[in-house]
Amino acid sequence: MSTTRGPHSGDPVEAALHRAAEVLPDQGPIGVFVHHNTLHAFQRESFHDGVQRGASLLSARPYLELDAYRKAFASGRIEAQDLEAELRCELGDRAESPVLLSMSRLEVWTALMLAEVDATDAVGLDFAIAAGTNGPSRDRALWNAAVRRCERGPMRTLPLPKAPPRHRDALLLLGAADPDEVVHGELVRLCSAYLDQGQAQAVLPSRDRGFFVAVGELHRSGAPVAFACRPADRDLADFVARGCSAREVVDVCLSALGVEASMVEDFVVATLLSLRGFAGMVSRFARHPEDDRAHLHASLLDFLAVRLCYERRIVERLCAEHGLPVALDALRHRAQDHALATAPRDARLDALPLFAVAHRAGVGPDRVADLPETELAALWQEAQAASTVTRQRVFHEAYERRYRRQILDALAQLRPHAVRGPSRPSAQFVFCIDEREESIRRALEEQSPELETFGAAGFFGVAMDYQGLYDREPAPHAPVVVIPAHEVHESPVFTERDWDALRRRMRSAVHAVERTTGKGSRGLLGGAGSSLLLGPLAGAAAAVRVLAPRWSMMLRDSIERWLAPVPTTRLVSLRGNAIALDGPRQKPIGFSLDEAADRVANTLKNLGLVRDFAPVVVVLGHGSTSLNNPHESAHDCGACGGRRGGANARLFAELANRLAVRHAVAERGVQIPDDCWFVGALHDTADDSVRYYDLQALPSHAAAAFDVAAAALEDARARSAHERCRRFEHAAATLTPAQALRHVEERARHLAQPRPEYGHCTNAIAVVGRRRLTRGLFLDRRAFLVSYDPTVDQDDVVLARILAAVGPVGAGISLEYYFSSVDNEVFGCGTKLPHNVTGLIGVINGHQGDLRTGLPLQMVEIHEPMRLLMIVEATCDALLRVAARNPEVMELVGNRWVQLVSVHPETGAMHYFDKATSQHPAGFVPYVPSDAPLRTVQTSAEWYEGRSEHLAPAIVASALRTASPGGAA
Amino acid sequence: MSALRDLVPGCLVATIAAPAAAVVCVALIALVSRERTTERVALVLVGIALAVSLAASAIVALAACGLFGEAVTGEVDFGAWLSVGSYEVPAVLLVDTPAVVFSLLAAALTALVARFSKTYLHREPGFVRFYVLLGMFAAGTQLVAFAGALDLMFAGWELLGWSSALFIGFFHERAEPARSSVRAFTTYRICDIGFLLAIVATHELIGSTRIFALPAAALLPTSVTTAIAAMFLFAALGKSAQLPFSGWLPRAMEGPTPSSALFYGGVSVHAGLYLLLRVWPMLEAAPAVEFVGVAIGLSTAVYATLVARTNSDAKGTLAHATLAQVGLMLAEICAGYRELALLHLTGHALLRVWQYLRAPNAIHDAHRIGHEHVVPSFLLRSRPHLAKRLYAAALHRWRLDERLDRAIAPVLWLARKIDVVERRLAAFVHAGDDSRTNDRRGQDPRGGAS
Repeated sequence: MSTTRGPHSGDPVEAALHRAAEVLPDQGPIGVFVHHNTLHAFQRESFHDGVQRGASLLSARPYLELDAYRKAFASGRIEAQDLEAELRCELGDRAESPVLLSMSRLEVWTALMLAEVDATDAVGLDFAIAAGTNGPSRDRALWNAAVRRCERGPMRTLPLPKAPPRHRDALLLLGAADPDEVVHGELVRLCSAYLDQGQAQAVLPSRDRGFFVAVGELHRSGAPVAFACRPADRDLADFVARGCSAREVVDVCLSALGVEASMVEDFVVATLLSLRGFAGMVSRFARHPEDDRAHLHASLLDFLAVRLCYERRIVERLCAEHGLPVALDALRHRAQDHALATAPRDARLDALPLFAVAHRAGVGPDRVADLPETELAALWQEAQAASTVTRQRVFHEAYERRYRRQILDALAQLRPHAVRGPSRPSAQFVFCIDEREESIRRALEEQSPELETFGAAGFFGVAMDYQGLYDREPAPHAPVVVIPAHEVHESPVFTERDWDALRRRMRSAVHAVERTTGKGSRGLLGGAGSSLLLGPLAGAAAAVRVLAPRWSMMLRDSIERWLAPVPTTRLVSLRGNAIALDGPRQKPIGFSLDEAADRVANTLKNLGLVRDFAPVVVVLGHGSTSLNNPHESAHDCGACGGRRGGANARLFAELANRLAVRHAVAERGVQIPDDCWFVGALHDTADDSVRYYDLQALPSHAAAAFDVAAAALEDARARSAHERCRRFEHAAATLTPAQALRHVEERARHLAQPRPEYGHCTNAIAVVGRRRLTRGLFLDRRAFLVSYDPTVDQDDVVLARILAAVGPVGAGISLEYYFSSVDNEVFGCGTKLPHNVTGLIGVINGHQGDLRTGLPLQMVEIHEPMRLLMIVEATCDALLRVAARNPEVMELVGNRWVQLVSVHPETGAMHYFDKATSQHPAGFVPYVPSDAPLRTVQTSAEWYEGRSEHLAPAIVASALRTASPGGAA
Repeated sequence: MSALRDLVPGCLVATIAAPAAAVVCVALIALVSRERTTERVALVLVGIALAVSLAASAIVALAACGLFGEAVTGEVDFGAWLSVGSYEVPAVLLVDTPAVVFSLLAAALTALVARFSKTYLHREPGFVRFYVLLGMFAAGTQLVAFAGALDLMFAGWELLGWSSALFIGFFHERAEPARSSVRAFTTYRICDIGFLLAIVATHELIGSTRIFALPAAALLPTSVTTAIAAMFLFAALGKSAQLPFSGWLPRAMEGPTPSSALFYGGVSVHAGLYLLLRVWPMLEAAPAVEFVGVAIGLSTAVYATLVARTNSDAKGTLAHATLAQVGLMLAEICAGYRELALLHLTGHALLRVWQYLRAPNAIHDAHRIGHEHVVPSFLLRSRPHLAKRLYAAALHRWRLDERLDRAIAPVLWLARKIDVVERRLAAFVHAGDDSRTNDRRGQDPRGGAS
């Protein structure tokens, strides 16, 4: 039963729609992929309650499978001390009290955790014992004794199975055909036609009148529904002809299906969740009409009405065929009685926990065979308390705990080695906080102590609706929580306006030809013509693109650059203070001087970059290009709302270079020296290329410094590519950095490559603080690195700003990866290989299935699902103050959807925000790092070379050299 | 040069035998070895075999073009494959233009898809299975291409059918691929009846199943040739997914993208057409069948074009666009334009393979080149009622599968009844002498035995 009631608690259907809208996948069209907490609706509850409730609603796994945790335990990924600590935490004072066979409760639980005790298939169990592949096969005598003992009883009490929520589930239990098979067949075709954003050549007639009316009109024209659903077609035609509202139809269907008022809410939610991909997209379009380019006025109620019309008739038919009642309650009872009657209990299954405990206690078969009834009953009580999900939860906490210890210990070990930066670095680089930039930052710092790097959310404080040279309309480049107030356009420089106009015409002509041949070749006569004319060309193209992916794309690009180079452009970034140039979308185009100065000053303050400016500061946004990858956008910048951050970097640099802006920034307390120059750039995380913007404006005094910076970056990107390649099995272990660069370039251009990059996979940590906290630490591309200088920050203003952006973005990414990896089939979208792009909104499996949301298997296969470990260089008090002011951060931290650690800015003392235990309430508790020494290596490559697994942190000595006192190298 | 010419018989065998041998090797390794067969083993063995097959096919093609002296055409006899009494299956291969074109096309596309899949299927649990099936498919297509006798061709035809059905069910852990696979397989089996009957009839009436012997059909009475040609056409309809058997083709999109490209864009879907090109003398002697073929081809073309227009998924659209062209080609062949059909087939296979391989790029392309907003068709403006009816029919693919299911429902019902009667009968017979009835029968209420 639901505990969260919407504002419509009076009407069960309204309440159900409201609740369903929260639980249904919230992913928009896949062309712009925004990472978010898959179970965002449950964020109001604590993490464990939320994932367990959400997962049970969707029949998904809330954590990894027990077996995966046990493997992690066996391999040392979880250590015995972590498991013990978490179990003690779980059991509290009762941990040491004896339960049976003179074992303490702690030992009993450990036995239940570490052995396989949940078999449901006695025959399979016997087979495994005979094959010698499980625990009991190692001690047959003990096993037989345990079975004999369990046969005498008392029996273990098992949790009652859930009542089937829908007719369909009851019918399946009773051996009838699956009604969803037919209903979904109809709905999938109708929904993909209805939601289509421009892929089909013919449009569903009257779809602008809503789904319900459009489907009704189809049936009114005489089109029949699938045979098994008849006469739902006549019902629908009739309803539409009479002008019934979707709401009335829902009520008619619910009463025909015998769903009593008290059951309506759960029934409707379960019904909507059964085709959750399409229902979720309908609901998304209803709540975010701006995502829907076809302007559909989508409504979840319409979808429900059509669905119930079909479902009602097929359920009636199946019930009649099998002589079953249609009323939901009666059908449920029949199904439950049937299930109870046909599910025999088997002592062998009960014997598993007994065997596990006895085996761990080391007692003989006789002792087990004579186990007193009270002790057996005590075991069943423990087994009931240690349910599957409870054990998973404890394991998961231990899994996170081990990693947390490793990272916090490493930070503590690094602290004495931390170096003070040079007084005047030769170059500074500002990257996005993205964890994929960690390796390239380290590669820069390893080269010279004169190079400094920073991390800021990749929109660099300039939220905007950006329209690139060839974009049809502006698109928001800002975190999803921020709605940009300004537009910025890219336009050709004055001298290239003519060339731009000509190129535009050529470009649209070429695209029109491409569109026409694409469409024509799928038609009848066009298909015949293009087979004969274009067939050989297509064959040649296929051969070249498959056999030489990198070379062929580079050739194509260079021909294009030679024939039709992109004109030089500039950004329309600044407008006069007084004149408000309102565009058609009621937003000013460009920033006023004050607005620009505010943004530049704030960003620099966020970074802690307020003094010691280098002669060149390179600001790098990031994006990712790959082919044949419907999930391409999921690799773009999360801080830019799933778009590329290059334009933001360019805009920031452009504003910061303007003299007027610099004066205004100086008034705000940040003095940018005259000989400092900002350069915007775009880092492509798939092929590790770097593209600079507006270099023609680079003043001559900065040229030499820029050459130094560019050379360093050139080297760093190759080293970063090299480090990435250790994860790719197709990249040889012996690659040089230059070869590695070629390898990733090929990956990004390969039509057959399902893993152009691993994206945010393996992300685990976010460090908010000065770089000296982490400089020289190998963090394995797993850490979001956010620059923040607590010594510059007054009244925690900057901290609040940073946490408000980084908390939700980082948690969104980490939780999306969490869910997609714990249950890839439900929360993720499964393997990419059979994916089929539908309606430009997403992918389905094969020819006809539900829309798949979440991340594909190939993107999460090496991920370790953990909550984001946020380490902030701020006092506990400051963190609590900031969280108290920001409800969203409070929710994430307080409900423990992220793990929070405070590092004291002066002392380095660490406090972990712990859950409430028997010893203390929820809140910060001190963390005492272990003093086991950390491995020290000269370079990163020395640490990772030849290894593809997750790597522990290590100290990289070359990044910890101190700058020569003379200044620039 | 003539040395190369002497290689032709060897090359012919190599096109077929190399992939077959690779399949056997990989299968044996997978069977015998205790560890999981690695990607590398399958990749190297099948890869080499496909390269050999392609090279051999190219040499045969060049020889057939007359590059190595006098052009090589006609039969190459390897004796009898098997003989039972007076019936023998001749091991004879045939080199002529359609054979060389089809073989080279299939070999090249298979090799290309094999290269593509090396990257695409990396780390997929079914990697080895994929390459085994690919090898099986390659052996089957080459056998179909070069077979000089109908029975030999049938062997290749079966390999093709099996590999196709298994590819559709590649992701067998989900229900939908398994269902679709069974449907394709069933369609193949039913239509294979036509092929088998036609082979037997040809052997009985002409005395040989050699393709070279088929022109003798002209001497047979028209009623007989019509019957045989109709059976061949029936076989071709199933394999090439023509009406009324079109339902399985969109379902075949359940497999991984590269196999969809190779089978349903490239080679397999055209195999029915190739069969008709082979047995053309029989078809020529049966004008009624030719007429029916044209009619079916054109209706399939119209049907598939309409369906393709309403489909909003990338692969479904391509499947129906492909089907439309195959329908056209069927009409071309049956109308006697064989050379045109062969040219059409080649160009079409190349075009579709490319389009299938790029199908996942649809969103990237839409971002790059944009898409036009669709305007309501002329029909929708002038005859909205008809337009809606047509749209719904096309969207639901005329409910072909459902109609077929209902058409064969009485047969299934009868089969079930017969099954019940048989069980009862068996139970009655065994009731006296067999006291140890097995569990399953004991529990079956209809079995009645205890």
